[in-house]
Amino acid sequence: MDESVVILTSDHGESLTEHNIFFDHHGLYDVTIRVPLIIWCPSMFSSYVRVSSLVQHVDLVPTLLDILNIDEKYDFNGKSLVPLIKGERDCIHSFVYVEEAHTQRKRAIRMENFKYIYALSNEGAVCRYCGFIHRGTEELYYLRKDPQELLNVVEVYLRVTQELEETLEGWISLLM
Amino acid sequence: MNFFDEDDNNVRIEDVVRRIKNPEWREYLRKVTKGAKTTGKVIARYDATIAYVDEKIGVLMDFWRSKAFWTKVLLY
Repeated sequence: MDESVVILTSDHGESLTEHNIFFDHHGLYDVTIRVPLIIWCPSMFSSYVRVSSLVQHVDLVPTLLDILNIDEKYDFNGKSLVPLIKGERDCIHSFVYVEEAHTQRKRAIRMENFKYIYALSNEGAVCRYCGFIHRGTEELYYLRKDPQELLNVVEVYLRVTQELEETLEGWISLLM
Repeated sequence: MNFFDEDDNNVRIEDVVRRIKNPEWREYLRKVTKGAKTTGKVIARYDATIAYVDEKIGVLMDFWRSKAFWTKVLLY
């Protein structure tokens, strides 16, 4: 057991009435995209630390390779979380990218303090399950003041909106 | 342990369900929330399910730990 690595995480959260999403996990809100992640590896990490910066599931494979000391070079989107856990770095992603296509066509970028969500088209904005548009076709939330994502401030922080939109588009163009 | 208080989310299920425009999803929600009058009741059930499964995983872990071959067990 001392030489084992145990990782506990989840594929999604759940929206239990939040944002008019009832007992399901569509939507790109934190109730759905923010999941637990616990890494237990006593041979490498002797004390418990809590990391609050942004990480994603794509970071898990590079993390495991790092823990196992396999330093083959692969072209991963994710990055090893080991430097974060060891306290050598504070942050490995300045943003994370999320997308959904099952019930609605939306993309989002989440930074530490802001989240920007947009629909790929007006038709794509209509939720296939619920039959209506959840919260609009373009949304911005100031997470530090509004962690529940209740107030869409897309018309208030115009510069932030534009910046996040550009970062999001830039990231997508890298994927093409 | 603190459980979710169902009175904290006292919205009538029917008021929620009738806002759903897709009839298939509407009927599905009616089916899975059957017997609950409010959204709070459904959330409380969800909460209870997690607590129940958590407890049973504890029972399973205790069982494995009591066995000599525990060190060779892979839990996924």
